[in-house]
Amino acid sequence: MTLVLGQRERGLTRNVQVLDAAGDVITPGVNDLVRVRIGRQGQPDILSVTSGSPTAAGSKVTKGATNVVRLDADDLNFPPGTYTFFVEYFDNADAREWKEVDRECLVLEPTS
Amino acid sequence: MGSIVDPSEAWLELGLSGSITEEERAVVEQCVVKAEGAVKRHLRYDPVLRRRTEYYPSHDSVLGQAGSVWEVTSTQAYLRQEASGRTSELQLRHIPVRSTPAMEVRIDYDGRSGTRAGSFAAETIKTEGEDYWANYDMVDSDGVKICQDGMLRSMGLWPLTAGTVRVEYSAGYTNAELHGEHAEDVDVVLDASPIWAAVLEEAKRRVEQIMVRKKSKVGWVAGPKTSESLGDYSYSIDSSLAKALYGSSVEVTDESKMLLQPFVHMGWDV
Repeated sequence: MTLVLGQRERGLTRNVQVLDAAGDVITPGVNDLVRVRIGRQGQPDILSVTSGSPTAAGSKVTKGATNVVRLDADDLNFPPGTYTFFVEYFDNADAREWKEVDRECLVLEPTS
Repeated sequence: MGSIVDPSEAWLELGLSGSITEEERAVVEQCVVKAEGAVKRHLRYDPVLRRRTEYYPSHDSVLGQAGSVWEVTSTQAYLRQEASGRTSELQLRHIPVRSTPAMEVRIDYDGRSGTRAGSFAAETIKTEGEDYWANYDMVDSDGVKICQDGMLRSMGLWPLTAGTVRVEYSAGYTNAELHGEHAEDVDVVLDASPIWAAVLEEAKRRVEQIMVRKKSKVGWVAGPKTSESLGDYSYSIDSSLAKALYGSSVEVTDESKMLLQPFVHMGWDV
């Protein structure tokens, strides 16, 4: 788990590796998906980006041994504060269900 | 699940945002829920914006000196009590009350809190601004009226029998208001961030209490370790330090009570 620090209306890129219980890297298959969500408990997601489905503003998740999460400045246009940054994995081979990988702490700072 | 404080906010303040164990995550989650419960009990209402349906009065009132007026529906006539030149007030359980989505008030003199078949039918709906109105005291830039004291006024007295008034309304603070967000594109007339701050403080205190008192490799200890040595392993603990650091077993500390004081619902005790 890491602290993700970003600035409002400024693009943000992070590399995300998904590990199995033994600590080995999982490379998503063709039909697997990686998703990141930003939000707060009990509230609708502020931003949700799934691999293969970039947002209108251009935020995207590129799958690989190291998944690259690129959040566009226009998508990071919400009130500064602390949010949960969810990382999820759709395992096509295992019951075709979403699995939680990790939860990070995202702090969005105001843009000076 | 917490609805005022997000666990990530507690992780950050507890120094866990860079590294957290699954056990710590579970403890934080649990403590946020417990802290929110404590704060809601102190406030005497749930401060999170929700749509609510409630029945009033909650108990039968003593009839005082009052005039009366006949009120007629398509099938029945009722004698509605009213006082001359004076409005009556109904204290709603949750505050602040919002004008949007619109409030709906129904009066059914035989409503029995909605348990009787056909009670509170469409014809029992009253008209806002004519039959009743909330004690709105501010308007935000979206034109939404806000009633901070939760007082509902009526032409004439409200019915005296319990469960004869059905009120459906929206009350509470938005997530932005609870977080005191004042970004340029967020319209926040109300700043309820002291509620959020109090929940966060109470959650932190509970986490710290658990972490200090939880079972360790040597079992349960009565306080934090004040010293530890590895050769011929030994340690010493201070039970009084835990109390000084993390407060006693009070549900809400004095510091949190000060934060919450302007938001306490003085008119309703749940």
